[in-house]
Amino acid sequence: MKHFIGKTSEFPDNQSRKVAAGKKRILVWKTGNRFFATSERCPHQGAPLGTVELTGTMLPSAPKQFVYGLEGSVIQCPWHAWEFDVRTGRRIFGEDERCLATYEILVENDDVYINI
Amino acid sequence: MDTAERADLGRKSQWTYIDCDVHPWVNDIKQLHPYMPNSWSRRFANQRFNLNSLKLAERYVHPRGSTARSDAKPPGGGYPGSDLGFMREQYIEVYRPEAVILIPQQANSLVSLVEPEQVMTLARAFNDFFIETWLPRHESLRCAVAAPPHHPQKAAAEIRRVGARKGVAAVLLPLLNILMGSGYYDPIYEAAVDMGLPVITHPNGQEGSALGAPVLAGGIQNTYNDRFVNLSQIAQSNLTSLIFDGTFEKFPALKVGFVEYGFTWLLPLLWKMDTVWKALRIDTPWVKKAPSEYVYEHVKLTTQPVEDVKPQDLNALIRMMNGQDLLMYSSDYPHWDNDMPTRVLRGLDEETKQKVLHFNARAFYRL
Repeated sequence: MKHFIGKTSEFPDNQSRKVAAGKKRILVWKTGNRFFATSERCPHQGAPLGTVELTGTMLPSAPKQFVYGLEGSVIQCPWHAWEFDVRTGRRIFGEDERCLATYEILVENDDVYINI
Repeated sequence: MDTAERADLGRKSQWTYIDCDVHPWVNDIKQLHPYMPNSWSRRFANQRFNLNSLKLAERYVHPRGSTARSDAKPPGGGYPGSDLGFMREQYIEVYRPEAVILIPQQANSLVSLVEPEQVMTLARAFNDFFIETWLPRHESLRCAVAAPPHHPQKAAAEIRRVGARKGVAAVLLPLLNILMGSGYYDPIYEAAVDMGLPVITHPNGQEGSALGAPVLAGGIQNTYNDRFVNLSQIAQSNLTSLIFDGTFEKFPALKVGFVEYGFTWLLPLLWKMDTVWKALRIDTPWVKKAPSEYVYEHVKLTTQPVEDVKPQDLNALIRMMNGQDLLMYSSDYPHWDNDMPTRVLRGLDEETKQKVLHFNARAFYRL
């Protein structure tokens, strides 16, 4: 079922807005023209993710080189710095299965809906 | 955090616990002026002395820009940990620890300075500031008073000056590049024992950076990660020094705590010390019993930072090392790698959990 959660203009770029759906607390992220929704807390130790902005990260590289990428796609936990892809909820690197739940966002004209 | 979330966390933390490592902060040296002679406050003003320089050395700046959690920055401004009201709102009144041991990292970082009277002036000011302006404001708060060892006799005098004040629970010993078993520290240990206080030591951010600060084994690391992983070496070498230099024979009532060095490195060290002692006891005949016995009798380690491994593996290690008699829970709030009490040490049997979360600290700090 889809629930209206706001106008596209009400969502700040590269930040999240918290919405409640029953007992679920969900963050809705906007990056560019795209919207994503994830669970609110880090699966590691439950840190709240609503205070962080989407960012990029350093990609795997040759020794002593830095290659920055994934701008606008990365949620960095403010505690232990775990990195999640906002698009999939999965850890950016590594095989860890702990990830963020994701939810479908629909945009119709300027209306934003979450599908739960 | 909304009301429903607070209630949720409150329900999870029904058991009582003691947090052995929380870090308060002083934003501006002007806050310390009432606690130092006027001439010194004038000197620090002339120097434009910046208290915020007393932190992790710039050589190893944190990859995220700060060792503090970004969400712990007080809404009214200032450094994380500087606003007791916000600390209470974000942590203390959510998780409701029975007691919190405040460890002032800026005072701990005084090892980056050299002139003893400058160091002691600041240490005294930090101690009085937290005793007078923090401890009375929440019943859970206790503090470790800093006793920088640049001049051990002055440090001992400071322990005796403030050690009996209400809420003082420990002596914080910032380390120099002199191992703890050295007789250099004896005046400090004597004073701590006289005042009935344990001595704790904690990474101070200067290791491997400032001349005179502890050095890490092998050489100087190039990265924050490398240094961070190897910080436990400081605890390891100081622990073996305390044992093999006979410190606990000199001071049978001395209790020592290693805070924020982790603990998973301890078991093989106990094995190694005991094995070497059995073979080469004649080198240190003042070590009258197995080194591990001294550790169980005199030493405690705090749990944070707990490694991210399977709980069953961690618990197996804790059982093997009789961790129920050695460990004390700590959060390290408001630092980035803090361990919240509802999310770590899972799956431990109830008796071990209660000792680690509560009873070991209650006895160690005489709460």
